[in-house]
Amino acid sequence: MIALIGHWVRSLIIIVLLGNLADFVLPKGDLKKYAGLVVGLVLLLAMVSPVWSLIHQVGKSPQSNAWIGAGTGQNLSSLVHAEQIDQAEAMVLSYKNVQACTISADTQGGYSAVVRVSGTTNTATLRQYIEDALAVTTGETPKVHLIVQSDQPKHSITRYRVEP
Amino acid sequence: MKRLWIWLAAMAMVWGFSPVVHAQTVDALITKQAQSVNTESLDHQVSQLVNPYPQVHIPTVSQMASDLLHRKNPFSLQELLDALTQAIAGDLETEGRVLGVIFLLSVLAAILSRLTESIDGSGRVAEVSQMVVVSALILIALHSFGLALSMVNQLLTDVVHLMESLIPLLVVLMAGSGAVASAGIFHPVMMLTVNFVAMLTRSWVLPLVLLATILDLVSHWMPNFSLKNLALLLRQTGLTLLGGLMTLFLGVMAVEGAAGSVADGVTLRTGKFLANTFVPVVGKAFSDAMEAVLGSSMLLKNAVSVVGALTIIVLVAFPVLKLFVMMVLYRLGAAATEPLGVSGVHRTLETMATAVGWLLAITGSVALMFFLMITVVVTVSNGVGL
Repeated sequence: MIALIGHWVRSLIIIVLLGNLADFVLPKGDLKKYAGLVVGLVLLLAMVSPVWSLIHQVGKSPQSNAWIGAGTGQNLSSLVHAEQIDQAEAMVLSYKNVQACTISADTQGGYSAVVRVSGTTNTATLRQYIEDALAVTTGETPKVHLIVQSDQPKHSITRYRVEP
Repeated sequence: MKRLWIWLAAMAMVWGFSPVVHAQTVDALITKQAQSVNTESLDHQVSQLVNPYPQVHIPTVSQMASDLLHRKNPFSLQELLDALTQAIAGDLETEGRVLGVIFLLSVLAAILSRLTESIDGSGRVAEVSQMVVVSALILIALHSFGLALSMVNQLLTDVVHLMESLIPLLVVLMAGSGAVASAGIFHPVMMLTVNFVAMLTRSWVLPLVLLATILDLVSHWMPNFSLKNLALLLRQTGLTLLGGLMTLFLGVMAVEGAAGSVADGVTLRTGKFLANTFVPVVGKAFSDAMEAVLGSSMLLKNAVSVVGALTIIVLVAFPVLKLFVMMVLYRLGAAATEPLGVSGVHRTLETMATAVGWLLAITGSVALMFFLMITVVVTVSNGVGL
């Protein structure tokens, strides 16, 4: 910015020097008056045009982009969404017997949750719990597709699905 | 007999296990604290920065602490004044030489213009000769202005380096003397403010003032198409920036100071009260020991801040004095060349004097900000009150 101002001032100074040189060289008479007028007009133009274009730029670009930078709006909302899902996961972790939980958004507006539990849990209440957690963090009432992985000591990992 | 033995054993246990401060002298406590904090890098930095002025001697932190404790004068003002007088003499000599050249040029221009007026009546030749003289003058003036500008730049860099090595130490000692909340609040704010002020001054205020001065000089040199109002605009922008910065800085410092000191006072008093009331026998001794440790840490902290403030004073005094001498000499030149009747010369000298005056103001206000920062920090954490 200060470099731009420096360029601007330098060009103004050069115009002033050339104008004075022309003023010296030209003979006395009508021509001198007109030359002075022209130099003055050029000086005015050189002084005002960067300011004009700056005002134009600020007016044209949308407010958010002018200050934050282009393209950050989309990124910001996706970041917020990811953060909301992370918070819902953290809430689910506080449920009894839950050891790990990953929630991801699927394509048709719902969520799928993969939960690992130790021991036995009531899947219906767990699903209700996850739905409530998502409702608290995202503010919508989503459908959750739940996959429970149980690692009971007796049998190896069993996977069963609960359809909504 | 048995009872006596039991009584003796009980006395021995009380005497042996109670955490009484063993009649430690304050001196020993201070030296212990000074050894526990590494002040070497600060001392090294200070001695490096003051290196260009060999006559001035700034004491090290531990030396300063012991001097403060024994009520000795740690810094000889006479030394500084002697060095400053010498510096004034040197500046007067160099700048006076420049002024002599300028006088010679303007006298020549005056003689030339009178001569040409008597030879040819149109006055064009006189105009040209005046322009040549003024351009030579502007070259000389711009050279010395450039020197002054780079001096101010260097000073800003030096002071920022000093603050960057001073602040961490100061904050550690602040936390050590019990001002934990103040330390937590001040550290990021101070680092941010120091760098922000230096950056803004170096890359905005100084260039704007330089551009304004150049525009003013061009307007004197080529009076047909004048750009004086543009110069005024640029200069006003730069100085408004500096003024706003200073207001913001003072406001932030005042608010942070008030918040931090209140929180710290509450914490410390609560701690002392708890130790006094709820630790049964040795509570009083415990809180007294705490007080002694905190007090000695406070003395060390004050020593560090005094060293910092002294270094800032010494670093700023010499450039400011040089700028002042330059300003006075340019004003003198403008006053002396006015009666010669060469119109461009005295206006150019006047512009230069004003520009150097602005540089002086900028340097002074930035140095004042850093100085105030140190003093505010110290007074805030001294006011914690045990």
